[in-house]
Amino acid sequence: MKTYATSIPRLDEFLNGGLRPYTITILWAYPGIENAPFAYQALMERLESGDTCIYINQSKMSSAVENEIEHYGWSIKPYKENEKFFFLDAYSDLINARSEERFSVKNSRDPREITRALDNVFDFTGPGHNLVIYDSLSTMIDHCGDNSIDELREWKEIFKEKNATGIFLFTEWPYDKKVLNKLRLISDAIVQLKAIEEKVILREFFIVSKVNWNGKTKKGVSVPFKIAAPGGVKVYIPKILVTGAYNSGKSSFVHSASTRAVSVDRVGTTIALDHGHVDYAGFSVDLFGTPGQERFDPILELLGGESLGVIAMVDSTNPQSLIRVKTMLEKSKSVGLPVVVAANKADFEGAMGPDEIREKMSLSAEIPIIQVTAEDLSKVREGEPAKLKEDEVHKVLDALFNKIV
Amino acid sequence: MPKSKKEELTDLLKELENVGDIDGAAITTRDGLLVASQLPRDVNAETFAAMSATMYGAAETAVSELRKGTVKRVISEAEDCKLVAVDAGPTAALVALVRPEANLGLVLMEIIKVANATKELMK
Repeated sequence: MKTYATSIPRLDEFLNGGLRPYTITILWAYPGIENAPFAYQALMERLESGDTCIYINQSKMSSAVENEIEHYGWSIKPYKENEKFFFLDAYSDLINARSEERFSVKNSRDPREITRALDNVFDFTGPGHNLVIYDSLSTMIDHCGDNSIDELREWKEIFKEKNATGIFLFTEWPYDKKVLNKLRLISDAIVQLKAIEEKVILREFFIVSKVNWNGKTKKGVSVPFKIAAPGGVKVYIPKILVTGAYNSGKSSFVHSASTRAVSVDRVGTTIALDHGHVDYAGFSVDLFGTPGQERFDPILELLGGESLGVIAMVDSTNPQSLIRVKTMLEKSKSVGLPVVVAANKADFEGAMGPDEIREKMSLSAEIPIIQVTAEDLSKVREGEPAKLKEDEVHKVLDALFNKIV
Repeated sequence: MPKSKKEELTDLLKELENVGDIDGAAITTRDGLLVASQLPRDVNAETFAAMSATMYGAAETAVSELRKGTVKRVISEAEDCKLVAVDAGPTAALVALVRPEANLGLVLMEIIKVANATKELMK
């Protein structure tokens, strides 16, 4: 069976590779959360892979959709010109305006008319796979009535005939329970977009709650995200603590992993904080590197709160650093969080191996220990963070990301 | 739809900008996470929040070592601005970017007003 990747980080894994042909996936958002950027990102991925896309806009003007897509740093213009992208305008009729699009729905309050218009667009799409985006089901229910969603069964038949797959936007306003249940039944996959407010910091996350093919719907697994412009959907982890004993290489790690980083340091020792931003593998992460010396422990206690994961740096040549990092985890209130141990200076003479470190720290088997080394120490100036080998730094990040989501 | 807390906080910060002589402000949790900001475009708000929280926390720690009461505010004087950080409840701090020539008395009063409103909102 073919799969159609969406390029949304982590989502394709839950969908076991991507969308399946002839299916309908609902981006099911709670009020106040934007679901359209998810659709835009999938749309761009499909266009780049050679698919044709039909965007049924019922909740806003097609020009507004186009502007929004550009806001995220993408452009549909070339695809429009090459007849790989079509708007089916179902909005203009709702506001009694003349549509400026080639394809429009004559009476957008009648779902049968939408079906007819969609069928008509398919006469102009070439061979190959088509992605149909419906924006949005909530607008359809509001204007065409609760029973309009029965029309989705008809659309699935058309999808089968025309080799198409659907991504449908939906916002859960207070609808009748029957409507929601019907939508759950008709759809083939559901991605829920939710938010929780924690101490006024709004955290948004998505959950794949239904996949009727062999995907994964592990209960309670949620992926925190934020939407960057430009850039689109990123898995978002606002705080990862990088901690460890004095001189184990915390600043080196923060600087090597980050796209941009700043430190508060004096003569090569962090006295307050390293702060770095990481954009990697679809993740957007802020790293907080703590000072290592004991006299700065009040700062460690201050900054430890609300982390979602910890990178514990140890100096493989220094057994003392193993004991110290355990104390630091306790002081920063990080015990119980997902943790990865980065064993720095692994290439030094007399360095302890991962097994020895595991035993000395009495770490359980599920905590990964990953060795890291500096690129070229002869190039490092005294008092400046060393550059760690990129692939090893990425290994540490991968291991931690896998534990967090 | 009622305003989210974040929007209400951002509105408070905008109010502060209207005072004059204040170029921007941010609210950060004591552990360095950005809550809301209204800062010049070229400022990285996340880093600014993390560093401001550290500055405030370090001052608190230093003062508590002396056992001379609690910190009311931290003011950093730079060439082109003053940075004013004040307490905004047990979980947050408010940091404002003030022009160097500003009348600090007036500005402080307004900052503390907003900090107190923030405190109420974050309860």
